[in-house]
Amino acid sequence: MAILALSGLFATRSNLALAQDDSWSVSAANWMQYWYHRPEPFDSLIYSNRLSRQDSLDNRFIVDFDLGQFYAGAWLRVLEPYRLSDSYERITQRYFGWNHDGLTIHAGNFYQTFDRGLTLNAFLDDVVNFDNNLDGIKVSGLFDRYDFDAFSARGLRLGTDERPYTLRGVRGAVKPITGLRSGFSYVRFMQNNEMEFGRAANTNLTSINSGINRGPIELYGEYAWRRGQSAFGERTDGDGTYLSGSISHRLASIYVEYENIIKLLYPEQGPFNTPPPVSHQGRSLISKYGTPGARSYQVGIISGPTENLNMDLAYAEQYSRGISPSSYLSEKYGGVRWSLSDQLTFNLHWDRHDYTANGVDSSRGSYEDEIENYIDAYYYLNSTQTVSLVSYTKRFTSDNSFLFDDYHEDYLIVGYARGNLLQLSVGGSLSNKDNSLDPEKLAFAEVTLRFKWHELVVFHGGERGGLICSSGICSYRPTFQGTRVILFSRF
Amino acid sequence: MKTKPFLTLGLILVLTSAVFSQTVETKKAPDFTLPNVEGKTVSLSKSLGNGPIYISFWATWCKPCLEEMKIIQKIYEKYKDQGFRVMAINTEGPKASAKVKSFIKSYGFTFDILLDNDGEVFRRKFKGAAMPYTFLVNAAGKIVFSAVGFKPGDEIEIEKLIVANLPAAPDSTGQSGSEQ
Repeated sequence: MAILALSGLFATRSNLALAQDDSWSVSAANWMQYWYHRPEPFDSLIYSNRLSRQDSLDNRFIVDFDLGQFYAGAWLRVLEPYRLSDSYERITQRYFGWNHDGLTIHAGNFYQTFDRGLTLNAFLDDVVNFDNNLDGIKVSGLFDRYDFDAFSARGLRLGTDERPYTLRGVRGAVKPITGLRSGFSYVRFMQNNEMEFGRAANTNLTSINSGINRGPIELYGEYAWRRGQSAFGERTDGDGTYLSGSISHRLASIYVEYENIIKLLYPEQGPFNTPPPVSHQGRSLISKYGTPGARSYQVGIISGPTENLNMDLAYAEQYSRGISPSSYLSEKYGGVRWSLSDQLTFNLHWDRHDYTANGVDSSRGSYEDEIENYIDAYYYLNSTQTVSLVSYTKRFTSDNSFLFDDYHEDYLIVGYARGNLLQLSVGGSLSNKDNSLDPEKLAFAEVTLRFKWHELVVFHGGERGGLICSSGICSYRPTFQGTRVILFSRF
Repeated sequence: MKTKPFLTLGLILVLTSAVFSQTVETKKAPDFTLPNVEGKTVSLSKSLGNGPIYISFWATWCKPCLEEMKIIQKIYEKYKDQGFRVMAINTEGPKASAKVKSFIKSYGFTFDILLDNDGEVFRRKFKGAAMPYTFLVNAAGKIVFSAVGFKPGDEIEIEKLIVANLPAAPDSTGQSGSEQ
């Protein structure tokens, strides 16, 4: 049906192309990813070769119509993954709307963040395969002295196309004088529990915030509180504070963040508020170990003493809340970008994570500390050709030798680029991890070709998996062995 | 059953390339309104008419983005008085809000830094998937250049197109501008 609908849309193709003028336009993109998994010794995605197929396909097609003040669009996804029963082909998003002079009325699927995300953060992050888009209607206004958003929508249960949650929210902020702002947000989350005869779980999140942004100084503070009850009638109150500040100067800038959260997140699989991760690498105890809260801070210095030298230092700590014994995460990061000459640039960083994961479910992650030493170098042969070298090591140490042994992973990648048209990379990695699913040696070759609005990437070999964190959400990506083809086109 | 996704995919690609192959040269940049890092509201449509606008999507962790922005800063200083403008749109949302201002100050960027907090402009309007992701838009709002990725040397062609689209230039329509 989805295909028929889109085919109908394009039935008037000649008129569409000829009639397009300054007042309206059509744009589209198609992103196709095809994987062929090497089946031995195991299917690298599900650790078993008996229930899976060797190839999988993921195709996403997006089309948008811009009709002056009106717009409309749709996303079509064809997914044929390794697990056949998960296959589908459907329009995953469709929307239309009107905008004029800062005011927007939007119906259909959308993403929305309220301020720093303490009460609402619906977004898409492909790195961790996270998508919690909303489906409903929203009205937004963005003006010099004030801005607001109001919506009513259904929320997605992650990993499915079911929308069992209803969310309604409003936020606003006033900016009475330049550089000063104050605002609020309110979100009501409702979920029926079929097991409890349709009894509703109601959660209300409210926040107030204020900020100063003048000259070199920026200060922001937000306090959010959650009041509500689960479908079983128990209270689910919680709260959260987020503070940030920075002093910026051409030579060096300092920023600090503080976050203190307990039972603020929405219940069950409805992660519609993911507060900012107070971590340089986007890691959080709440995501990694499922703790009900955390108290965190981060201090960072960014310095650019000369045009050719930039430094980035950060220190962060997180302490779990609401769980005993407690868990702990710290991160120390130091990075340097150094342009030795017009032709040679180095990037180096050192990143150390220390975990203490007492009393949490071990299936949520390893008990390891992690140290990464990274260096890359780009040498520009001439105005169109570049060679690059990337080398890094990761060392993992374990607090619990009964569960994990210490191990390391070493990576080396050599690349060549010709303008934006061609990129070649060959590389590999070594690991002494005692795990049959994670081979000792992996090698790969990758070619990227770009032509006008099209990009083709062909990868063959092995890609080592591991913990991936982004936007405060962490997931484990399994090691991949095989061939991957990506074709990305924009029209 | 197994051939169904391939038939679907083939149909999509054939239809879309047939429809859109004729329209690339006249592509209009989608309009957007976003807050900048100072909290002011910036709109693409209201900024048109004075000269070319360089739109770049970036993130603090993206090393090629920073290399690109360092080079674009020099070009910006050279042509800003003639109407050239840069809009560098940060795509990281709330996770980087605390450090974006520190970042741009320490790197010495003086052009407009906008915040696309929920990714609507990057993903939905501009169909972004990787960064740096750049566009050069002429005074009439037409896209005259677009690229994914950045390597030193790219700025040679970008500067030529900027100069060709400055208000005083004889050909400012951008109709003949090449892409990539």
